[in-house]
Formats: sequence, C-alpha cells, structure tokens
Amino acid sequence: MVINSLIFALIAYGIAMLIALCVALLIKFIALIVQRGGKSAAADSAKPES
Amino acid sequence: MLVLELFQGIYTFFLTEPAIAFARLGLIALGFLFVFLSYKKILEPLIMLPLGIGMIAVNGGLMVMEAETMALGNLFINPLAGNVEEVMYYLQIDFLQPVYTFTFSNGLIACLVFMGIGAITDIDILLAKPYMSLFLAICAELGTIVTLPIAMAMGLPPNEAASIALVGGADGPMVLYGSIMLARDLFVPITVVAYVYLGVCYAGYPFLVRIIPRRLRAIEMDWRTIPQVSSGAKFAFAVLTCGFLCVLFPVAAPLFASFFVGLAIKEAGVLRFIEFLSGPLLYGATFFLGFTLGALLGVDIILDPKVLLLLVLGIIALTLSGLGGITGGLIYSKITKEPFNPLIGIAAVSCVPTTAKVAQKCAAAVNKKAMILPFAMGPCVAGVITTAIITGIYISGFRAGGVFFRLFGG
Repeated sequence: MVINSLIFALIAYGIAMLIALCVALLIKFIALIVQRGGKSAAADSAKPES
Repeated sequence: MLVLELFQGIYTFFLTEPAIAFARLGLIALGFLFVFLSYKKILEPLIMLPLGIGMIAVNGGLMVMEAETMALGNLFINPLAGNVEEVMYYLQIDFLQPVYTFTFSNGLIACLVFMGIGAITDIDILLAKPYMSLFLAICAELGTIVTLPIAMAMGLPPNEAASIALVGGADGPMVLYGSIMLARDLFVPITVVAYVYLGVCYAGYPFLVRIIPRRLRAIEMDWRTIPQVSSGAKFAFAVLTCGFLCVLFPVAAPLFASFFVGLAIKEAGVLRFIEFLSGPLLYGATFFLGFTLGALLGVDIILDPKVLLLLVLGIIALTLSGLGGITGGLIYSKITKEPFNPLIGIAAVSCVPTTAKVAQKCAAAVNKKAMILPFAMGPCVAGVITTAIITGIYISGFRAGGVFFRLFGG
C-alpha cells in the first residue's frame, strides 16, 4: 500500500507539473493576444481619417 | 462539593479522570501561550489569537449538561452532532453551532477566505514571469507529495494520509477543505495542526533558508526585468484559468471559483465588491475560522492518539516543502541569466503572503538593499494554484471510490 501511495503521489506530481505548464502556456497565450490587440488598436488609431 | 457545583468549570475537573483533567489544564495553558505569542506577533494573530481564546474558553467552560446522567459538555459547539434532530437541538443550544454547521461542515468558510484572498492578491509577477513562478511552486510542493507515502508508512489510511500531506501546501483554507472532503473525523486536528504550523513557519523558515549561502541570499533583483501586465490580461487569466481548472477538477471547483472570482472582481475594478471581499468578508471569515477552530479544540479531540502523529507529519510536510522551494530557487538561480535571489524559492510555499514576507525579511537581513518581495509574490500566488491542483488530484484520488482505490484496490 505504501508503494502504491508513492506511485500515486508521483503520478499526482507529474499531473500537477503538466497542468502548471498548461497554466503557464495559457498566461503566455493571453499575453500574446493582449499584445496583438494593443498593437492593432494602436495601428487603427494611427490611420488617417478618410 | 455542593458549593463547588456553582463553579462548574472547576467542578468538572473533579468529575473527569485525572488524565483528562490534566489534559484540559494543558490545553488551557496552550491557549494562553497562543494568545501571548500572537500578542507578541510571533504567531499570526489573525488566526491564532481568536483560536487561543477559543481554546481557553472551551476547555475552561466544561459543565454538566444533564444532572441525571452527569453528561459533560459546553455551550460552544458539538461537532459530533450527526442526525438532523441532534443538529437542530444543538443549533438552539450552542452559540457557535450555527457557524460550524453552516460554514465549516460544508467547506464554505474556506471558500469565503479564498474569495477574500483572491481580492487582495497581486498577480503581476505571476503573469510577467509564469515559468519561474510555477516552476518554483511545483518544487515547493515536495512536502505535499513525499508526506503521502510517509504518512501511510506510519499507519494512516490513504484518505487521512492525503489530508495531512496537504499541510505541505501551507494553505490553511485548502487543508480545511481537503480534510473535510477526505477525512471528516480528523478535519479539526489536521486543520489546527496546519494553522499552528503556518504560524510557526514565520519563525521557523528563516532558520531553514540559512542553508542557502549568504552571498546568494544577498543578491539584488533587477526591477527592469519585470514587464508591465495590463489589467485586461490579468482579468482574462482569472476567468480562463478558473474555467480550465474547474473542468479538470470539479471536486475542487468551489475553491477555484472562490479564489478566481475574487481575483476577477479585483481586476475588473468593481470597487464595492473589492471592499466587501477584502475587508468584512475576508477578516470576518478569518476571525470565525480561528475562533471556531479554537472552540473545537476540546480535550476529547486532542486526546485522539492520532494527533501526535499528525503533529509529526505536519512538520515533515512543511519542512520538505520549504526545502523543495529552496532547491527550486537554487536551481533557477543557476539556469537563469538574470540575477536571481534563491530566497524567492521559499515564497513558493504558498502561505500568502507570509512566506513572501519571510523571503523579504531574510534577504533584508543580509543586504538592506535587496528588495525581493514583489518578485516573491509571483511564486507565492503560483503556490496557491499548484496546491489547489494537488488538492483536486488528492480529493479525486482518495475520496470513497476514488481513482487511487480503483487503481490499486483496497
């Protein structure tokens, strides 16, 4: 049972690492979207009015 | 003796066995010690002061409830009230029973505290440096992982082992929620062990971090490396991560939802709600959490032989998590090109904001110019997220009929 719990704990650690990586990637993705949004807004405001 | 019956708190000392009477006296003394150490700010006064007073009152205020049967009890809480009739009876008798029944036994109090924590949490560094923050947070979960097999090797059943292992996450509300879900019978001693040790962390971790060489502890961080994060990005993070984690772990969804709703409200700038969550709600919930836990610390709970085991496992869990965080800090300082103070690793043990303050205090002790607190908040908040993830995995794994039992039987 102790060995089983060790195996389960290691699996849990692996899953937690994977999800943490996903959260980090999500943060990077959000930053990218926000950055692009900011750039296109800046480009729109720089266009001369027709 | 008849005169003594006027003073039931004293009278009941003579009605119980000497061992129980001495244990009561010991708990009253411990309550006084907690109050004194809280007053001196050695222990966290927000929790430990009401907890200490609750302990003194509940152990002092033991009385004869029924003259015929000489049944002893108090007018605080009866956590063992099981069926509806019993609960209804005690709701009308015990003054903290409504708080316990409606906010403790369903985990609401942990969620209320989490809403408040979300509303005061600064996630700038987490979003600016997500890899650093989450890497350190994962390292600082070492105690949560390693304590599980240790606890089982020491004879605890899987669900109780998982509950006490969560102390390694150093997150009081999370331990409370996890232990209610996994080991309802032991949730009071486990939560109290967690909160007592979280208070002790503030005094103990500065000794642990001395394993980091002094020159590394004195490293100054470069503020110019922190990119600006817009509040729109922070709001989007709160909402999307909440949805993502709730889909993965519905069993811990109340915790995720509570934390991220506080965060989302903060980033949306809804001032009235921010004031409510970060003031009356957070401190009201924290006060009743401490006071009710203290009132639950009656002699019958503490005399459970498992409590000593929980005390040992709790300190193992927190020490291992601290060492994991420090190791993570040292590894990160080796692999990054920017100057990095490895003390930040200890902040990843997610006791917001205590461990971040510990990191800053230890850095300032060796170099007054070293300002690492803002950097330390990133791993500290990331630690809340990783602890919630592991709590979700443990609840899914170790509740009745959970994944662990289906994988390995038993």
